[in-house]
Amino acid sequence: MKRSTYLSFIGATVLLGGAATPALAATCADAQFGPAVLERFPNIRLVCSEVIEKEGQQYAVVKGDLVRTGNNAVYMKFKLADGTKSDTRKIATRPEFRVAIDGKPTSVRNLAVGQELTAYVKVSDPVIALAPAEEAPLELTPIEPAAPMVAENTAEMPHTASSLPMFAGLGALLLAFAGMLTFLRVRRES
Amino acid sequence: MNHISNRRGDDTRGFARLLRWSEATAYVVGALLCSLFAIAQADSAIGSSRALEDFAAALAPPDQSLWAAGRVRDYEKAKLAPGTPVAVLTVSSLKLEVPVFGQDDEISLNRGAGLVAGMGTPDQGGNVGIAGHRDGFFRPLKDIKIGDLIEVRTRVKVHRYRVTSIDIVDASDKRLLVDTELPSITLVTCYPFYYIGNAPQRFIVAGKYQWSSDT
Repeated sequence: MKRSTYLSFIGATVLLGGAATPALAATCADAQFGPAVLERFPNIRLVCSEVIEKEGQQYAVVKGDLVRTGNNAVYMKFKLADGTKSDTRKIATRPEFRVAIDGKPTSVRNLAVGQELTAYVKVSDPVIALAPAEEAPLELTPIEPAAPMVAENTAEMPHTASSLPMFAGLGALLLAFAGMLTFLRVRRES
Repeated sequence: MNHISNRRGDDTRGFARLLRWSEATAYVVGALLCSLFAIAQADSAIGSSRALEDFAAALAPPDQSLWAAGRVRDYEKAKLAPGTPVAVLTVSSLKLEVPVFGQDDEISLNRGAGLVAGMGTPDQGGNVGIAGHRDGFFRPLKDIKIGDLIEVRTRVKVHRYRVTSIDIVDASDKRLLVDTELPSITLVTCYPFYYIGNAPQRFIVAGKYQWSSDT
């Protein structure tokens, strides 16, 4: 009886341990990133802060600062362990997609440069998604090669000279001229 | 003889009439031009102070978590309506505080500064261009120094930039208005600061984003 109890305990431990293994998420150091992930995101281990399980898949959690928004995408620089920042990465997203900022759901269109965002990189496949504000399915998008966004220059030098001081000067000259004429006229008439 | 004298008298009266007409015209046009300047100055002072008040009132944005997407879009469009400041620019070292409007037209620049069309915006990133009149709100820029802090407060965030360069360029030189990968700011005004008419050059202040500026 005592022996069978002991064996049962060992069996249960083995079974539970086996079942728990996938739940004990890998660390950033030992996560088995797919070759395509490593190819498109070579410094993924350096920017990964933890590995979590979501929807039955492993995801590396990456945090970064928003560098730019627009064209249905956000551009981020991820934080490396040594405090430096990664290359700029683009994550395509819908403008209505909501992320959590200070605990509040905030649509992507209302984000501002400098805000910290969290994204998930699938360990097995080269896809990335912004962390949604609510418990919602991840909107995965392919990881694109690091590419800074620089728009074509369409700006023209603005006209920062106002004509108003010139008007004021002209007005003052005209008033002085009129005053001089009045003076001459009154002197002549008297 | 009398005929010549009458003619001289007519000429003198005609000349006197012309002088009186010129005198009256000069008074009217001079007064109109001075009034125009005075009205513009009053509009500048009142418009700027009202814009700063409006912006302060709008700093507490409504909770949009339950709003429909279309309503959020309409709200965003309304925020960009002419006459509504999108930000407030502050340079503490110069005691400069000015509302920033979404466009750089004459009315906006009379009441504050304006975002340069075709350049970035403070919240969306890129090279943010802000223009102002050198004989108005941006005249204090003549005393700006490298290393000074420029603060741009939007409805979402306070963005801080450190002045990295000060340049004087030709009015047609657009090289300093190019986009940048990382957020940056470019303040533009005319140069020389004291000049009657269209100044031939531009005074450009460039600043780099300060990442440690979270509020």
